[in-house]
Amino acid sequence: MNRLRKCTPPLFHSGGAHGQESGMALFYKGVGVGTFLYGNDPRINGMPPRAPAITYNAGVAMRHIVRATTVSPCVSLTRSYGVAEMYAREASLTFPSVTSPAYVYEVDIPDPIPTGITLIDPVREVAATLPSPVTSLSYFHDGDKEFILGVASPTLMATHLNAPIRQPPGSGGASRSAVLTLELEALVRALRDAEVLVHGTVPASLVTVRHAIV
Amino acid sequence: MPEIKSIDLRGKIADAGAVHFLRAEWMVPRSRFVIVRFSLHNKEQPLGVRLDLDKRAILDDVQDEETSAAVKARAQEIWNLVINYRKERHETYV
Repeated sequence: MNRLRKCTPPLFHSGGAHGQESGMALFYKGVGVGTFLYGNDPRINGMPPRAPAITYNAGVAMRHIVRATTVSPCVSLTRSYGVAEMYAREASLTFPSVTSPAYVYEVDIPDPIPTGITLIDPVREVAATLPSPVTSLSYFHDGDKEFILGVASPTLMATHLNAPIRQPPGSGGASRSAVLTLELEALVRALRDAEVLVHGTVPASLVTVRHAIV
Repeated sequence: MPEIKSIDLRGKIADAGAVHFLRAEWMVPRSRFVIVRFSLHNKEQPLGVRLDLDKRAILDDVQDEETSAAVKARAQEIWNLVINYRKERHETYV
């Protein structure tokens, strides 16, 4: 079975300065039953984004990660098989079965990255947009240290997400939950899911293995 | 094989055009996604739509834009039913 092969420098925009040594990095894509990629085997047809015509920028990347939109010029991949399997199994339109399983695909991406696709590390992408810490709250929050747990798991850890912030004695500020910006939410969710975005269609030649998930 | 957990939505969620909501289902305990089953023109569809509990949003489209918007507008109500069900059974962490 394929496992992580030689993984040269972490990630990367294509055409960058990482081409000194070659290697392959292994990514995963979970595909639930009945979802966009389900009917067209990516090993044959590749993995196209839902909306390739949308112009890409960092804001698009953040909304792709944080919001409920499935209409995006990007395709999400993950470095974690466990994350991909969770999405395949749980994010299906009907329960996976022996006759109609969900799938996890392995995607081997070489370094240098093939022309025509751009591999985006969302954490780096968001970080590059952040202003000076004195300019705005940007990705900082003003809640307790458990607040991050609520950002990573807003349903199961809702108490931490919604907890009123502590304020200096006598400050008289309104009771409210911590500030959560799009930037922080994108950073935490990208880290949680070990997520990488591909801008463009993942070529079929890079989709090497398919695992059935029941 | 884990059992399917199911919440009856009939009579609790208003129809969205020709869409009649039937059940919210999940198999993995504490799963982030649930499948919302529905009938269209009185015929149950083989595929449901996904409700992402973390995003409180229905991710999939049904028929045309207008129907999809009406279906997606029911997300919060269905979310409330699922979360209340899970809270009663201590299926949330905190």
